[in-house]
Amino acid sequence: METPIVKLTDIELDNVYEPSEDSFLLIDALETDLNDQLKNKKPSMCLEIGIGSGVVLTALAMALKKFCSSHFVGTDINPIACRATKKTSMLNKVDVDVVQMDLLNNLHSRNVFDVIIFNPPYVVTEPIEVQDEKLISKTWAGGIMGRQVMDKVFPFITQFLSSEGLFYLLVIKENEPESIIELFKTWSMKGSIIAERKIRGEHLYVLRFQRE
Amino acid sequence: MKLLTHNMLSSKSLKGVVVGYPLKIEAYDVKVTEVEFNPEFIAKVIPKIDYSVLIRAAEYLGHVGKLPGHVPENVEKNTDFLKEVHHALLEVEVVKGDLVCPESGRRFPITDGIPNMLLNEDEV
Repeated sequence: METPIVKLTDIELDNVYEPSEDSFLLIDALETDLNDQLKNKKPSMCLEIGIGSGVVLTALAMALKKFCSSHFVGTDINPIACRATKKTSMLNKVDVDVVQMDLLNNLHSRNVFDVIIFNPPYVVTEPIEVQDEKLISKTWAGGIMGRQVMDKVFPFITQFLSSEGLFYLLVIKENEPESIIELFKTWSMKGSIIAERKIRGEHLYVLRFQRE
Repeated sequence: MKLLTHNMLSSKSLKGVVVGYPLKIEAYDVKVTEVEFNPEFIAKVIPKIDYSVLIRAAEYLGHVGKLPGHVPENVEKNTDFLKEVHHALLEVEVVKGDLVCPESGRRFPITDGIPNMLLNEDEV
């Protein structure tokens, strides 16, 4: 998969998560899946929660373009990230519709998305840091076990995912990927680790979920 | 914001709002861009959308064109219909305007094509 061009200004760099190892692992995992199943499934609606610079969804849009038409929607609480995503998508000649909202708060529950991607704030922090007003903190501060933000989203995934839909989630070891896979069984979703990478100080995983 | 995205948005997260769907649109700046027509894709999207909400949204923007009141049968073969839906869903974009909660009247501004649905703490 081609890596999108991302050009962030100084102000954007201070406020938006710069594409990093985790973003690239997610892109790599999507690339593997593109060849395995996505290009045959031809997803018509794709969503990314907390889109940041837009690098991941833009990469998927660029790659899918060769196989099918799809509609791409990204959300972010951060207005600077929303604008950065618009810029990234335009720079790479794909279309991503961006809506500023907290997580999934303003999406109408309907099982429409064939792909949902979430690279959440996963870093283990003090619970109070999750409430930090600074926009850049919201890109990484995950509170207890790094799970405080992602755990809010999990119960709603089945309300948005289409019957054949796939949910891609990036986590680290401290988030306890195995326990997340167990948790999703509560909603009749089966999950597995589809990629992992050890980098300095972090062991990253990509999980993929679908209905049982 | 394309009307396909509008079809997915609600204001239910507002305190006291029960459904919050569909949102009204007051548009001040609407852009029309040509998007490559893929009939197979549009036929796949139609069952995913609320068609009556699309009609209303297209009416707000004056782009209802020849869209019929209901989805006809055998849409896959109805190229004229698919083209009309394609235009309304993907080619018409609100650049500047407001989304309005149907229950509370709360306005959500759209700037540079990006709706801001964030709420203040006292609204949640």
